[in-house]
Amino acid sequence: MSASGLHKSFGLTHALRGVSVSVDPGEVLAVMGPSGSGKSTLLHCLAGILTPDSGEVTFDGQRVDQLPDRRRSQLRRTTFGFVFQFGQLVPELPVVENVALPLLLAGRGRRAAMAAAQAWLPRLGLEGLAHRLPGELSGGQGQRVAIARALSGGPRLVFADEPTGALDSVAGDQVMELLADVAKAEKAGVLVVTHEPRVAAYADRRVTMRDGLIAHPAAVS
Amino acid sequence: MTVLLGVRIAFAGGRESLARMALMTAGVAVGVVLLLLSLTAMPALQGRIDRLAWHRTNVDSPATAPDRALWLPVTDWYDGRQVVRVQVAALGARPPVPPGMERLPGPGEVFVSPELATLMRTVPDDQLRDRFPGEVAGTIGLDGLISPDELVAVVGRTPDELRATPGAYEIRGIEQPGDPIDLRGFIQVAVIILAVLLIAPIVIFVGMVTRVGAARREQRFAAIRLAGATRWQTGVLASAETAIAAVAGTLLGWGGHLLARPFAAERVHVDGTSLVVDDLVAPTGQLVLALVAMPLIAVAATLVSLHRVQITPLGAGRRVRRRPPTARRSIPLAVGLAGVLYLASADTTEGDDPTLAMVGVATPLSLLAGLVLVGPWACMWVSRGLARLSGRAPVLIAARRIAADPYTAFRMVGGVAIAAFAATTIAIGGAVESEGERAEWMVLDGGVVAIDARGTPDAALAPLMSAGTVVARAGAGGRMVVPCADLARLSRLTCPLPASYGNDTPPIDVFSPNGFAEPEPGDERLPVHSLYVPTDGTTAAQERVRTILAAAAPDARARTAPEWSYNDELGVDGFSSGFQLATAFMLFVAACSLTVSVVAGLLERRRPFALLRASGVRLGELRQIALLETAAPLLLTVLGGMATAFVVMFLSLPRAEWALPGPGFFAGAAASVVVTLAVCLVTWPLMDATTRHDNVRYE
Repeated sequence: MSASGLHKSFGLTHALRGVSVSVDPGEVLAVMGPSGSGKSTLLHCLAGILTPDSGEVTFDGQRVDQLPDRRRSQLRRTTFGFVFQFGQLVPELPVVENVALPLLLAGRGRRAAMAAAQAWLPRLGLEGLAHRLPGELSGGQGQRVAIARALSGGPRLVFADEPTGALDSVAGDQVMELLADVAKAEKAGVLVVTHEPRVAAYADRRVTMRDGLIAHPAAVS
Repeated sequence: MTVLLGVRIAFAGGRESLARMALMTAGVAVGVVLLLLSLTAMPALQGRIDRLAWHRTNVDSPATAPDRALWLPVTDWYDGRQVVRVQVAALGARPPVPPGMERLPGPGEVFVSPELATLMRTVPDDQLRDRFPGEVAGTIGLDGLISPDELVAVVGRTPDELRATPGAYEIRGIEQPGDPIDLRGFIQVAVIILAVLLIAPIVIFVGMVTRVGAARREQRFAAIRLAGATRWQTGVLASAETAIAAVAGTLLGWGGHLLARPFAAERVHVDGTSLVVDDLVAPTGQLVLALVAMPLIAVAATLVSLHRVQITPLGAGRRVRRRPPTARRSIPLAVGLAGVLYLASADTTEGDDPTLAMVGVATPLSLLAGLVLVGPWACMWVSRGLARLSGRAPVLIAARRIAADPYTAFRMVGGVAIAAFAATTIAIGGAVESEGERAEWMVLDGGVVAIDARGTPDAALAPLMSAGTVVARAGAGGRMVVPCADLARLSRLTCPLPASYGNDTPPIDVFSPNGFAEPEPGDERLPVHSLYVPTDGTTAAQERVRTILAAAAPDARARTAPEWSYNDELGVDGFSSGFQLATAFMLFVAACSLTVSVVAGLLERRRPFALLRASGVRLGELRQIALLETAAPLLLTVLGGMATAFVVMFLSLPRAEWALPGPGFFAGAAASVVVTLAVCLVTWPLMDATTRHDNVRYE
């Protein structure tokens, strides 16, 4: 995925002012920066959640920013995975069904979806938790379920928005280590938005944003 | 001081608080309107009974005037409507006068009710007007009518004319309203049940409304506790909002009830006629009690719904999750069904069996309580089953959500279970009754006017002896002497006619003979029992026959087949109207409760749904989840209530009498469910708004 010259404004606030960035397959890219620097807006523009005012976002040769909303939704459902800071799990669904959700939404049969979801649990250290509800999990366990869910559909790119924001440092490290390792094993690219340097340390590459611009274009970790 | 602070917070709480108060006000207002209308049911029925008193005037009625009068009342019909025709003749200067009149009509005068006067102007004289010989000299006032649309005529005759008329008798006075009739006890119980059925959904609705924006409000209360408020003060603050809305709703409801009275009087029919508006007055004590109790009940509902939230200075938290419902909840329903079986098999000929009476009272209560108790358990198992079987994400999420809290899912629609049960029971009862009527009474072909002419001389009946008229004479042993072939031509009876009725013969009422006999020589001298006059079946032709009869034999009764099915039981259709009203109301409130619940659920799950949508889940799929969460418990409840009613009626009725309600009932039930669900669709725009991508941001 690559983006160039992205501009996005919310009223008088210029969130992005000509940002260019790219993520390769299997690469973990960290986008850092203080609050209000535009990093979440960048993630949303890249993922097709928001449409940039100008500039272009290209994924696999197609202009994401020019796709109709329906096609972008389809892209997010079938090709991208998402890990958010908290709250993405459906509280009434047990762990295994939360993980199976993208597969069910993609039309996979129940039995196959559950089997595939079950297979993800040991890889993320969630053995024995298949039938727990999200409310019965710790923060770290919840984020690991979220990673399993993001990866269960076989995405080619995972967007993670402050994935450890609600975790302590130990749990945060575990979650990031798993995200990076499993994504690499699946050859999926990862774009992590964070303001924590210790999270960014798991990335192959880091960019820092300030006032809607990339401050340090590319720093190899 | 705390109350004032509560009031300030209620109004300063922004759109969410105002929306909550508006919803509560509307819900309480609608509830109060219907509650007050249900409280007017008793006075309305009593008023009707009192108005009916003078129709029961007889030789034993106590004196109400110095002089006497001759009196001949006949209940006649016009096009399916009852017409009360009373012929009177004063036997002195000061005879008894019925209510609604200043004097008795003199010979050659007729007093008529306003509705009859209108009808007479629109119908040819030979179909109606000629039944009341004389000049219309006055109108009967509302005091003398059981309903504004009652058809009544009081015809003045000379004493000699009336003395010569069979059936006329002398009276000393007009029957006055007496003690309440026996049905009152039953009516009272029915009204109490109706009132409870009306209040319960409102309580649930208020509880639901408090869930809207609950999280934000609870955070606010936690902040107030941090500032030093006690738990009691927090409760007062929480109640203030409800109290304001409930008081406003109660006042609005009171006003609304006054405006709704004329509508209710016109629409709620008892014995096929409307009610008198002035009778629809709730007793003062009950009115005050209802107006005071409604806000208190609403506040109590709010406090109960907040009870599960623990508000501490450090924040708000839910109390431990309730344990899932168990199979024990099905016991009361099973007890109720066992009671039905016992009652169906019991010997009811012994009138005073205390066990039977006790089971008779306990059974319906067990059934109603059982329906309410078993609901969450059934909801839980059905939704768990759905979740296990479904391969579709929206169904899975909706089913898991219901299974996670079946109490809340059922609470919203619990009233519907009872409504569906009551409506189905009434519908099956109605179907059984009309089947019975068809079997027992509808033996005459359409268009035949049957005349009960017992006691009427042959000569008086001469004008009715047209070609085709069948004359049945009164034979020995109560048997009707009539040529079988002639009677079979006008009825569904086949020859030979049964000579007598035994236990194995279905009852055939063409003015209650004990059997039939073929005429023998000399039988033409027997007195006339009844006449069967064939017509072309038009209203005009049938009413012409009746009008001829009224002139020829004023005391003779004439009936067409449909008029036999007329139900003389006071108030039966009134109860049906009441229960239909309650059913409609419960469906309406259930729709509102479901809507509010969906709104509350959406607000609670704004973030997961927004994140799912950001992850590519289609808005339509999210809407399906909300719709399924609403539809599943509603359908289950309606089907459960109806199924229970079917089982109960199947167990209670003999197989021969069993009848299903018509397709209209099922269509009505389906339409009610669809309308209820349609009301919930108002939340769809909210689903779009709350899951927009703006809600994904964490900053």
